[in-house]
Amino acid sequence: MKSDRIIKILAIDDEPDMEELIRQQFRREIRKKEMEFVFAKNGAEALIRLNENKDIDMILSDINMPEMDGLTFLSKLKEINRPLLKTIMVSAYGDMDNIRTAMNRGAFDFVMKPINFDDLEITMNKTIEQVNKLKSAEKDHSQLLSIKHELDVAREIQTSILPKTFPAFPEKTEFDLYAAMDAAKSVGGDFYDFFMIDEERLGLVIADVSGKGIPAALFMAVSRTILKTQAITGLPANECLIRTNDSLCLENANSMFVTVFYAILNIKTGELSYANAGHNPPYILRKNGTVEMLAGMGELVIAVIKGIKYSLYNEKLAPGDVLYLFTDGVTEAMNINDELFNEARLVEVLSQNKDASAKQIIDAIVDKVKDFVNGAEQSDDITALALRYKGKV
Amino acid sequence: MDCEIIKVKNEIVISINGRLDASNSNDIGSQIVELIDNGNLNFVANLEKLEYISSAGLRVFLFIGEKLGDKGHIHLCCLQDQIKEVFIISGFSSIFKLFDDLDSAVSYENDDS
Repeated sequence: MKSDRIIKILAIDDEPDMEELIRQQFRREIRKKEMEFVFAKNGAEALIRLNENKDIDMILSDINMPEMDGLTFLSKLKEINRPLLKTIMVSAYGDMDNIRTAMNRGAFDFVMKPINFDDLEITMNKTIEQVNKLKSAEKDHSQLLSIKHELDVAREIQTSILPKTFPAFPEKTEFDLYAAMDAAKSVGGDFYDFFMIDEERLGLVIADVSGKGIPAALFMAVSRTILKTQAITGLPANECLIRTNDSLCLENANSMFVTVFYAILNIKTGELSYANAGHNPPYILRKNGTVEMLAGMGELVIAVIKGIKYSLYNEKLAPGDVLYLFTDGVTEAMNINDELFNEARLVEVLSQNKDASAKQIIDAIVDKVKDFVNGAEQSDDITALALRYKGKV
Repeated sequence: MDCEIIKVKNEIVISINGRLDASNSNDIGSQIVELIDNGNLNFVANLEKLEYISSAGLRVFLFIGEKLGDKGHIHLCCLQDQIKEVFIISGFSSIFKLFDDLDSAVSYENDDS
């Protein structure tokens, strides 16, 4: 009998010499520890044996027995709900009625008395094969469930960490800020963040961790914490990235990396200073509807090489200007024809929304992206942050 | 996605077609690791037919680069515009050597050879 493990079989028969006969017929399998038999004299005793031996793979059962017959036993077996347990019925020759009843009650197969042991062995082999297939399918299924559970955990880590209360700073009239992350089915490691460094300075972050799933979600959580810890001390944006990079390089055994754009906006003056570690450059939507890409790109992503320097850039927002930070999930969203949403479409939507609120801008772009992909599965997180600078009101 | 591996001069040339993302980057990565474990240290990735690369895809090159360290190299050649742009924005173009054609990539005199 082909199997990697010992097959445990429960044989139920009221004939006293049946046990001896089976031990004799299968002595080789028993000796080689391919099979093990447990015996019962009737259905009632069989139920007790089943309860004692949770690892029984297969049952051979007679039909006519005192106390509890084979057909009643089959009904009881259904109730204990072990769908992987298969039963071969042993019936008197030509007893079609009982065989039909047995099959209807869930028997897997049957053999006739007097038992032809060659035929029995073929039937048993076939049954075991089926049981093994079912077991392996069940294992696959439970593995799939656990992967799905892992993804749910990753998504939870990812989303629970981001600030989601809007308006974020109701007392600050100098700006209108909104951010959102639309997580893909397979969780990535995007994040955004914003925080007041002091009364005048607002920190803005957008980032994208390499890869997907739990590793990306965890790396994202660590990256975000380290960056924010540096940032709220009021360090210049590039210095912040330099230190975050050095810290993350120490803890990175897995060749993970993260692209980060970090900007500090002076909400009184509109002065914007920023640094960019490998992230796609954000856009400024000017009050008049023109769209500019922020200067400065091509500096290495974070967590790859310790000790590298990042440059500091300066820009100025005038009242009415919008700063739009995003991840490549926006521009690389793909439709069913494998076309990308791309920068040109993004710029177009931005310029069409020159008078919209931060939330309207974010929503408009997400809507356009969804229209564009038109039902294709979302492969990456779509994460964006929009800030409309109002200045002194 | 297809991945073809041939030997040209002393270089293992890996041609990657289609997409390189989270769905296949581990496979490609372990194929290359196996080649490294068998003593191959000089690689050229021919990206002529690569149409899309995600961050997980970039990570493969990073991982291989780190694994090879000073003992070997992985050079990249024939990047399509959109792939090149990803390498430039992420700063990866500063840590990998990019070549316009396969010939110059395989005949490049390496400091480490």
